[in-house]
Amino acid sequence: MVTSNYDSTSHTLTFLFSGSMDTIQSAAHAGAVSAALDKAAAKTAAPDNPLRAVFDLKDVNYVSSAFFRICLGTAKQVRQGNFRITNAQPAITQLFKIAGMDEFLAAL
Amino acid sequence: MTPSANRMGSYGESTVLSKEHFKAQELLKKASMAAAVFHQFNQQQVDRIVERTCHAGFQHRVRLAKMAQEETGLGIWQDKAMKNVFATQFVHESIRNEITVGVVAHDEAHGITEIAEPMGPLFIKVPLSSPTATVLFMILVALKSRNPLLISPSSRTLQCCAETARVCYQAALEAGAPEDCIQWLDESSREMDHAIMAHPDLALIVAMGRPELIQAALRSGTPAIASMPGHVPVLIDSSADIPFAVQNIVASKTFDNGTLFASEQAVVVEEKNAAAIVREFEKCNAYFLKPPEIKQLEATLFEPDGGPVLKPACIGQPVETLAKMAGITVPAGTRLLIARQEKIGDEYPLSGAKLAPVLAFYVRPNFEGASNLCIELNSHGDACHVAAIYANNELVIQTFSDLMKVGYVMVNMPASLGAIGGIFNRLKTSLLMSCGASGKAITSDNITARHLLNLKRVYRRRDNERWKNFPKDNFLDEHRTLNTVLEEYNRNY
Repeated sequence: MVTSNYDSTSHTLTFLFSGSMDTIQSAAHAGAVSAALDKAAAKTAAPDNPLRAVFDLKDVNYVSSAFFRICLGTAKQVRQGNFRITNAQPAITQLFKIAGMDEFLAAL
Repeated sequence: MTPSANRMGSYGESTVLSKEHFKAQELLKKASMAAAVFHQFNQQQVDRIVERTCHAGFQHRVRLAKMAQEETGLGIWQDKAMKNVFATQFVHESIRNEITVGVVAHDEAHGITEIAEPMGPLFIKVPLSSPTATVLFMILVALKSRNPLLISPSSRTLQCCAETARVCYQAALEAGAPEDCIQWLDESSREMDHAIMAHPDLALIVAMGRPELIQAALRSGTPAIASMPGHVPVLIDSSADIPFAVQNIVASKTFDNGTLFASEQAVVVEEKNAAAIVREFEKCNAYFLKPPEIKQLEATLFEPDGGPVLKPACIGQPVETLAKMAGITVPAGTRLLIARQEKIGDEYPLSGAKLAPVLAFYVRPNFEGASNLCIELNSHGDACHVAAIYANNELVIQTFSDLMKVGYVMVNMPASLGAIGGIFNRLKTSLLMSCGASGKAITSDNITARHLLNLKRVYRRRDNERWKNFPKDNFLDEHRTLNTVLEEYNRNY
């Protein structure tokens, strides 16, 4: 399951994921995440205030390759350095490190 | 710097990255993601994936063997099918009940718990001689240990390796394995291999085959398991059952036209049994070459100035092909060519490793002379992993075993199939034998899933009471000797 919240002040779109982000769940969410990013990006095109995307993984207990691809796609969709993963459980943090994607993890 | 190149610190300050490095980056990225997903799997999930993959590989054993024989033009498809059986059914049986996820051992008294974790992405350079069996084997042990696998075929094995990998990958995916847990290269490139082997995200290299490849793997900075053909001597002692010994040697050396790395390379016999052994070989359709024919065969098998390295076109070829190439006439039905030799060295190339149905044959006055020759034969070359003996005298077997500086001493069994394990002995079945220190390897063992695990050990506190109760000033007193310290340290212990 995923819900999203847009903060217009910081121009940040936060996605709150929960449960198992297996292949089926990830595939189901991929389109919605991308569409929400496009919609938020359209709200302001100011170059000094780019869209930021945050994945809150507090309640995520499994990630699949498909979910990693959503992360990579999101990082590409927003500008360099504007994608962050927050609140991941230690076991999930470890997986992002193994996958070589720890650059997206918010500083602990 | 070219437009397609870039500089990246992790490869060294002055290294210009080529397109191969970017391709390697992409492959390793996918493999790392697969490694992360695999990390979450439990033993049941892993075992289901391995079992389904094994069934798929076994189901296609004959088709893949025929593909391998056709594409490489070497070996015997029926023997390659048997190798595929060893690589699936036998390997699966040997790893099926192994614990490879989580706690694998717990010692309450010593407070030590061992936890198995995957190593990370593995890379295998597949040898020309056993392509499909090697891929089947590596896939099963990689999956069992939850490690993603990158497969690099040689130029003459691209199709059969790709098809083997595809069959297994499909079965693994259907059983729930992570995407990209098995990847394979669709072209063979030395630059690509080097780029992958040097990549910082690669956990382990499995290098099989030519010494140059092994050297490149060992120089890459990534841990490596190396395996290569060895100079395998086999001694037939005077206590041996001669017909039994000869039949086993012929069966072993002719299996898949002599392409197994542990196949016998030189037979060493004592003078008093030589004539009987020659007769027995001839009964088994072996042909002893005449001196001029030996010269002709040497000129055919080896480059004039290439040292004792077999020409690629001669690897795994049947006797009739080799004889025809050398312009030698051999009796119909000949299975094995034998060349009498006196000396050892690069100038006597038949004394070395020959992945073909060709054996060197030495006669020595007695057991001591024969053993000395086996030591010389074994140490002449890149790998001395196996030595074999046929004997029924326990003292002789023990003496020979003590003398040989090898990882494997095969007693009264075919060396090549013996090293695979599970057929003639209770070795773990494996298509990958590590050469030991002589082959620049850290271990001399049949490599299997447990070698592809990182064993994490958790140490719980268990105080050393002697240390705890011993006055430490004793160690600082320069007048105390080790004996006087130990006397007190061990008192009442």
